[in-house]
Amino acid sequence: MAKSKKAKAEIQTKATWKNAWRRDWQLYLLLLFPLVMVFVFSYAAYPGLRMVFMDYKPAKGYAGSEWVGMATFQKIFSDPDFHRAVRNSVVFNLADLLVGFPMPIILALILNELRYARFKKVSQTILYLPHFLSWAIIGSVALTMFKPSSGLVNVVMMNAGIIEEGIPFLNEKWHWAVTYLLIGVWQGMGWGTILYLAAITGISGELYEAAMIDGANRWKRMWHITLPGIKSTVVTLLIMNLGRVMGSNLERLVAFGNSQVKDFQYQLAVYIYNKGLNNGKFSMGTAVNLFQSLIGLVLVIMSDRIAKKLGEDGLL
Amino acid sequence: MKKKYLQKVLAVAMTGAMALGVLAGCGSEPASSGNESSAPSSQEESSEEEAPEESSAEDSSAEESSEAPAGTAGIDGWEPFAERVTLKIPVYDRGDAGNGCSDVVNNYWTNWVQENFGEKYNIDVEYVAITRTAVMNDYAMLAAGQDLPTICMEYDYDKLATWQAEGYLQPYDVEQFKTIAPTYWQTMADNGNDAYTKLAGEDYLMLGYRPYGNSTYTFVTWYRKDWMKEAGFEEYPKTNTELLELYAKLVENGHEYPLSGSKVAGVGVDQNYGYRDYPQDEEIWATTGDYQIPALSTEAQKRYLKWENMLYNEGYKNPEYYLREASEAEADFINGKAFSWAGYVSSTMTQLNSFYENFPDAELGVIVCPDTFIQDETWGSSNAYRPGTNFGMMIALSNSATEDEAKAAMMYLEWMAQEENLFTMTWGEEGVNFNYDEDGNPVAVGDQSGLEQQQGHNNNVDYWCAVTAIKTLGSIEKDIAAINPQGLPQDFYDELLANYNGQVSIWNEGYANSDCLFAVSLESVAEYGNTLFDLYAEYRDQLTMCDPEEFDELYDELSQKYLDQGYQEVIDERKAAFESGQTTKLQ
Repeated sequence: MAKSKKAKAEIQTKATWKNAWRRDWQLYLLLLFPLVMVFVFSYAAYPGLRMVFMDYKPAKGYAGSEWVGMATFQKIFSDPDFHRAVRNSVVFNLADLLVGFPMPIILALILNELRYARFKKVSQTILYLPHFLSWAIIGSVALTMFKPSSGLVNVVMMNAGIIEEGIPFLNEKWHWAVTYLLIGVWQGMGWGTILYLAAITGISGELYEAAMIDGANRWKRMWHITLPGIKSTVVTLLIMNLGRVMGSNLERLVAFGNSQVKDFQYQLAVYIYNKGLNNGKFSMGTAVNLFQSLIGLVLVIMSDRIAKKLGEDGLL
Repeated sequence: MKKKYLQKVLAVAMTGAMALGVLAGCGSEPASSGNESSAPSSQEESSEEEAPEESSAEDSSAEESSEAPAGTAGIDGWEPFAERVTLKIPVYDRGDAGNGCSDVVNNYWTNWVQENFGEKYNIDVEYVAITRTAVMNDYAMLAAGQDLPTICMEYDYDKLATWQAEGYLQPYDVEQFKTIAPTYWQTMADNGNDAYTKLAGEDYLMLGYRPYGNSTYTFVTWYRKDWMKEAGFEEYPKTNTELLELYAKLVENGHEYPLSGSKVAGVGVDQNYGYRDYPQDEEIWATTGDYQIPALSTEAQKRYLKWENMLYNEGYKNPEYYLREASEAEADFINGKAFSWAGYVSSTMTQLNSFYENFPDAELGVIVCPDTFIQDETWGSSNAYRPGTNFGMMIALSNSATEDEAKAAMMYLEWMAQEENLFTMTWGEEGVNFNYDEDGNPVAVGDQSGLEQQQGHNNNVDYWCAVTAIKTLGSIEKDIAAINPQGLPQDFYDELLANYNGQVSIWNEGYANSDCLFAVSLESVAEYGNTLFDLYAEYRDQLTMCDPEEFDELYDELSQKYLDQGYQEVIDERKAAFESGQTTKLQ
């Protein structure tokens, strides 16, 4: 005991910057460039944000563009298309969260219960493969499968006599919403599962043994050991996902977009692209993006506070 | 000790590698053409263009002009620049629609320009790929990166006006241009295009020539003559009512969705010229008569969409058209599933080559514009069309072009306008890209795929378009012969010529009017143009697919929304410009 105290004291006296550098300079050197990159790509661009207060003209640059104060924000907030985009983004992201968030947890619990390791690994791989497919590919496959009259699914069901008319999976907005959400879940659930499975491996096997000796059945073990064991991971991921409620994924929306579902497909990413970038209005695009980020930040901080109040570790 | 040494070396090496990685990321890369089509690329030529730049735009801007053209007017007076000048020229990248050669910014012909023009005058000619379907966006990105090409060019007047208002462009000295590029200027003057150089009161535009600007004979519709004859028609219907009878017969004969169809991908698709009242009302023509912003809310667009609605509801169009790409409609024609297909005529037409490979015995025809004006009683349609103007490409210097670069750009235009250069760029090499026929006229080789000298889209049009919109040999007969598709079982010369003559008659009768041009940049057009087009794409599909009974009511409802979202402002601003005399007049 006394020995270890002494050792600790020694380390503390030596832990100056100079010593740390002398001992681990290779590590710091290796760390230097990732840090520079983070700085360059995540922070160095921040001064560019001033364009939200300007009528930024690409050809004139920052120096030549006019300052307009809050005019861009005023314009955006009074634009009915913006309201439509915000409504759709929030509704679809919450729906995504509602449907998509529990799925990886459920899957992880199921996979964890499997005894046959090879099956577990193979199914895990198959489940997370869609994560690596780009939305462009998923979109075009979905189109081939779900077109109203020539899509594979509808053709098969019509030929089998199950339905008389094709189901408008992609061309009627409510059907589209369901298709869009479920494909999103399918794409993302395998990847989320990996995170939870990793958390599950951190749970001590002794707990399960003790529970089994005490007569706890599988459900009870899952409920009382596995779930509490991954609770902090669940909370962390939930907080991170809440931060994305105002976000949206242009690739996914474009891949599934068509003129018949614009009413729902028109989300913030589409708004930013169409009205901002595509129109050469960088100030507008940036302003909406800033708005998204600020709302995301507020949501993350709020959910973090709530999590902490509920006795969790939180994220920040 | 050794291990520690190794660690140190590895740490330093890895750090170095990462540093290089970061720096490489910061470096500027040449714009990618975004086109990696399957056609073989001419690798041998690439080495020259990859040589490091000898001087950047900034280098030469700081100094006085290094004086190339002086004294004598035209090419004879040119001297090479004392310091290397970089000249950036935009070229369309047509992506899926086909570029011909594999790489639009680096191929046999771009290198030919460098060798024969660039090297001679100490200029690096760099081509910058512009996505054909995203011109404004690409230019905006280049402008944001302070990397606009030396010249900005487009076929649409509105785009140039917007660029001018956004500060992309700089005016030029007409007198200097006349001295450096007398041939080019003379063509402008001979065709009255020197009257259109001004934007916002200053000289900005250098205008390429468009021969036969009063017709659109290079864009035609091919149809299945064999299907038509099978349906009992001897010639192509002249009215829409007759056309509907033909379509009905086609379906009866087992041709499902004979009109195929694809989604509206860009402006210019839903043109209502054939659905207007003629002679046109001048104010309606000036305020809603263009196709850049679809004219939803007008009577002409209503007739057009009603027609579309009927084609859809009668089952002549593919019910999934709004989910389909243009390439799918093209494939339908090539695969014998569609009655017609429209496209630009050129001597090399891969679509027709493929079609005849699939159906060697099929008979195609070209829809010929009747030479007398026909008003369809029920459908209010006619054979009116949208003629162009005498100018093709509109070219302006970008605001970042230095004095030397501006001169180099003018020299480039003049050099390209020289008969021998234009001829080579257009026709290529004798025996490779073209051969002379018995009358001594060049005839392009139909299929150039695989050739080292393979030309770009439509015989390199995207390179020589700066001078002329179409290739011309001096008479319409020769010019049609020159674009007449080669190497096919059928010959379309007569129909192409008849179509041209038909259009010219209609034009002479006053049923074809060029769009109104505005000498001022219209703020509302820049503000709402894109948004309105998006909205139109959504609404026009609703109108096409709605129950015919509900069409009128829905049209009124959506028109009101369209007007509220900015179209009314566009109309008002155009009207004000029209009334204050800042527009062209209806001819």
